Amino acid sequence: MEPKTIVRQFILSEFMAGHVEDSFRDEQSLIETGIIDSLDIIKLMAFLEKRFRIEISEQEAIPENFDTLNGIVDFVESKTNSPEGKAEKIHLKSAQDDG
Amino acid sequence: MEFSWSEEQLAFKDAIIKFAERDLNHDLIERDRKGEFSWDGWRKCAEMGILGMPIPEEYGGLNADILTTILAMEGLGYGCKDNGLVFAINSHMWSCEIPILHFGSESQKEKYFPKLCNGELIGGHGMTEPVSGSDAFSLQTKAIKKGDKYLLNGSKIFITNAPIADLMIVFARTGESKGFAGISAFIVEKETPGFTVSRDIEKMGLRTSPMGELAFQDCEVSAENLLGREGAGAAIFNSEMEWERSCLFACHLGVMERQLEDCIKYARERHQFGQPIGKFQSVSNKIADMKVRIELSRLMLYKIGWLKQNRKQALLEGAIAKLFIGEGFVKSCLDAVQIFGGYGYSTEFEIERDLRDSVAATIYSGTSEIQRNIIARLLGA
Repeated sequence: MEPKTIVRQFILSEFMAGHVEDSFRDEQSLIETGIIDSLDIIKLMAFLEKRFRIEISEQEAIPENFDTLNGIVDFVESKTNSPEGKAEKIHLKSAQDDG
Repeated sequence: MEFSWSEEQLAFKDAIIKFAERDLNHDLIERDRKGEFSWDGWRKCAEMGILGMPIPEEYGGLNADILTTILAMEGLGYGCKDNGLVFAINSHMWSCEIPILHFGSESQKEKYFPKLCNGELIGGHGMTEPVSGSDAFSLQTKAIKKGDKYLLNGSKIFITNAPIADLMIVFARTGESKGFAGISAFIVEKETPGFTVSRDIEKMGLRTSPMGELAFQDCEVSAENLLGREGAGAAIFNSEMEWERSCLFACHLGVMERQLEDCIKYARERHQFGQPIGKFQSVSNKIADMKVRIELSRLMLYKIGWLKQNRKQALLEGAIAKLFIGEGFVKSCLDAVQIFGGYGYSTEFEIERDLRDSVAATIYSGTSEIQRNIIARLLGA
């Protein structure tokens, strides 16, 4: 599944239950529209760290990294494409090959 | 999971207890009555290295890891009966030093840390406003960028250390974004034109910890004093709260440990109806409850320390610990007063002061009600 779909599903199930709208656009501000708040960002960070095997520092817990679906996906991809992220991918792949 | 401490860590805690018992408890009844801050105690804590415990050595700190820091703060709470001084120290460390450590620039760290660690500078933070308490991110103080400066306008209330602080981490709205997203943090020095501390607030407890209001009227703060990036205010606030909810509450755990020992000693020595009062279940049950609170508080605090040491989130655990220890602290103080009876109620025995000091533990760092909200939200409710 594409990262964008994974993140969208998480936001829909975790943060939009009970909302009037049942969907959101890729470029829609999740903060301005009240879909997520600061606590949700922390929850979202924990999900992204676990799901994509990345590490997000508290300095990165800023609104601009989590304001839109596209922004979140770009942020995740910037982490997975970093040298540390690539090493993790190789490690995962070799582990899968061995298995 | 590893629960043992090294000999070095235990020796450090022991040294802090001995230091605190020897140097920090003088004239406390009188100072509490007058609401007097202990400058002497502050300087001695700085000399002991307590003020810079988690700060790297190159900036003048001890570079202690968080678990060692939690253990040491537990020792400080145990040995130091001046809960107000302990509170002022905690505010300095978690709401001023830690944000600079985690979000500050190299030049900010070099400029402020040596003097924050050696006690020459006192720090605090300004978040709460007259109309924004629990709803912290609805704050109204504005910071408008003008060239290489920000112009701050607004006010803050219930600010620990305000009357004695040299610098404050001040949260203000820099953007038009809604709620938390438009908030930034600034390091504001006390001499900054347009910044005033307007009054000393008298309190029920923690009377030796000064508290005041801050006012900003066209207060010009250099853009160099922006902490982190614009919009990082909520991240900074959440980060410091995680530290405060573990390390400050470790001090409360220390007080609860001291209290329990005093209660057991008294319950053995005090005789009524021909036997020690500890033989009565109504007294011994209170002692058992106090012990249960201590052990569970300790487990939560050490778990948070372990999580943070391993660079994991501890927001849920921090909220649980804050809620449980804050409320447990008040209950244990009430139990202690009840066990000591009339003596517990009298100022001379120094039991009633702990009760007055404890009440705010369910209010600061997020009220008990807010902690319950956080826990429920994080569980998906």
